[in-house]
Amino acid sequence: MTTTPRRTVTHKPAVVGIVARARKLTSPAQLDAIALRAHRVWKSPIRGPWLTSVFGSMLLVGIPVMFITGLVSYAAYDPRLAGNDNTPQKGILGFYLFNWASNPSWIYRVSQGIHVTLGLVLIPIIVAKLWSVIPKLFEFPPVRSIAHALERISLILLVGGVGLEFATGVSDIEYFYPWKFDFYDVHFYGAWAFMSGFVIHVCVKLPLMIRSLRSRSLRKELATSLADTRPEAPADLVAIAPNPPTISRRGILGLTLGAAATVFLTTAGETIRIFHGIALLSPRGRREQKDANDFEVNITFDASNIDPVELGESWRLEVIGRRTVLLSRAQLLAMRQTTAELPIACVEGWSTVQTWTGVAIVDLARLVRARKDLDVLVVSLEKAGTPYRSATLAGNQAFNPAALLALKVNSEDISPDHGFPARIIVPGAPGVHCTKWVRQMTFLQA
Amino acid sequence: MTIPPQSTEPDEEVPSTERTRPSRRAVFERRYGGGPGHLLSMIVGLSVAGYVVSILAGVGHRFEILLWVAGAIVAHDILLFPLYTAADAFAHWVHHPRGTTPPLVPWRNHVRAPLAISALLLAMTFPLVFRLSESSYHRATGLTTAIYASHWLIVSGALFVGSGLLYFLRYLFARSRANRSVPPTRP
Repeated sequence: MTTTPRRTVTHKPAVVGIVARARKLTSPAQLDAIALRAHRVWKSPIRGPWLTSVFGSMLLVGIPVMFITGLVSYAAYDPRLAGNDNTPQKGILGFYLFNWASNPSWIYRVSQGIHVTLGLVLIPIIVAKLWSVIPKLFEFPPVRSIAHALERISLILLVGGVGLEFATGVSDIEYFYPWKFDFYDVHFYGAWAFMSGFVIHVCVKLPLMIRSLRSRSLRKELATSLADTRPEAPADLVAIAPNPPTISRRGILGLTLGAAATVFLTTAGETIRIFHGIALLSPRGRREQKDANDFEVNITFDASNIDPVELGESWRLEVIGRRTVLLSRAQLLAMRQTTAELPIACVEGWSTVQTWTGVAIVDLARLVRARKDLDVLVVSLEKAGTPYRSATLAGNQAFNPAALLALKVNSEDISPDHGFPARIIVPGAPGVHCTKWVRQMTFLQA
Repeated sequence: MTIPPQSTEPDEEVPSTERTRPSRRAVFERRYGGGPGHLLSMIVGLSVAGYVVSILAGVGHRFEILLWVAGAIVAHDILLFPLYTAADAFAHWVHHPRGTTPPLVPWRNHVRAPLAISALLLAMTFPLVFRLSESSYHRATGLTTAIYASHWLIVSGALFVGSGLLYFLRYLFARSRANRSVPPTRP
């Protein structure tokens, strides 16, 4: 192992360095003894910078993907359009880099599927990483310089941030809300706070990570049995008084990746079709679709608080453009029908592709003589104040030839749970922007 | 060739006898405890974080958010770590009591691994398994969380069965190897 010149190569190096800096407090020998004694409680013979760096390098890839797909999801709501972004006081963090695309239709399905599935898969790796660095929390002395103090503050962001982001994310997809704060606010701003800690950590630790990765050969580690497992060369994190090993380094890597694989296999099916049958632990793991309307619902009709009478014969769709038109369901069915195979992709990660039939939004625009590519405000029958009761679709989404006011799914009338009498289905948009129980559509004059 | 700027040379490599007075960088590093790059990344990163925290302080329920951050920091290191370490120490004691000969193939990790993964899965899905979110889950999905306890048991069972099968194969392999290597003892 290559060591920095600063580090001594005795069997108690970090400790001696720490002690030297805190000399003013008490006698060096005394501090040395305290630090040594404190460090002796860590017994794992496999804990060390190489192992930590292996876990770290996995997260170095995974966490940025989480952050980017998270920001992409924020952009997918077209936050610039009125009413679409309810995050308060977003300031400069509420930027969006582009207008959300509506082509290809699976764009949100893939990006959010990655966000949620990868998030779940990373959890075992995060736990392993936290285990591998636990002696750092109890470092002695707790602060040894200004640099060290700042670094520990940044670790609050890193460790607190990772816990907050993953706990809120997992709770949200399981509909478990043991808090009063708004999930979106905390998950969104928490991500920025976490990432600032993450970037600091990478800047400070990357050279050490690379050095540590080079200190041992991965191929050799994978060929090393439990009987031949020895502690890493003396360094930070390496136990001074290790127990005999009970698991090899390849064993702990196998356990971590095995846990990640188990999580993947039992949850990925909610968005990757071939794993559907074994998605036993995904919040939306459904086995098979029994009829035309038997697929995932977000907010059932019962939960919508809409009076069932409003869905009956009296229902009219109000379309507002240069003129206003009221349309019954029969009139809509008499218009030109367009069929499209489109996914519904939820922010919670699940997605499902179905065959939708209805009136293309383009045709409705023509009917009310609205200009092409106008944004469209869609309002449902839900009561005022209900979250996602309305959404503004950007012109590029609404005027995609496959963007529909759907009346049927898989050749049958859509059920009340899926938005009867009519719902929006737009290629590439997050599920909650595909408003159900549509009451009114307004082509917004620019 | 120009002489490279002094700052690229780590000053530890300069023999102290040649140094009349320490370089500015060395003074900085001694006082600060790290290099200028370290300080720069701290300033930039902590400024962004400060800005975010100032926004978060205004979104409402800030003390609850703070509580969650604090909980997130101690969740692993102070709650989970002692728990799984104690469980592991207990397993160690059961597996290999003092003074007995170790088994032909150690079975400890064949229990440890499925147990660890099963516990992690429970930690990730306990709101579903213990049906803590049934009402909001049912309102949103029209489904029930009643299936998850059995699903968790099925997955855990599959992990133990898989691990057991692997152990059995390893045991057969080790035994046939041990039999081959034992020299004939008959007279």
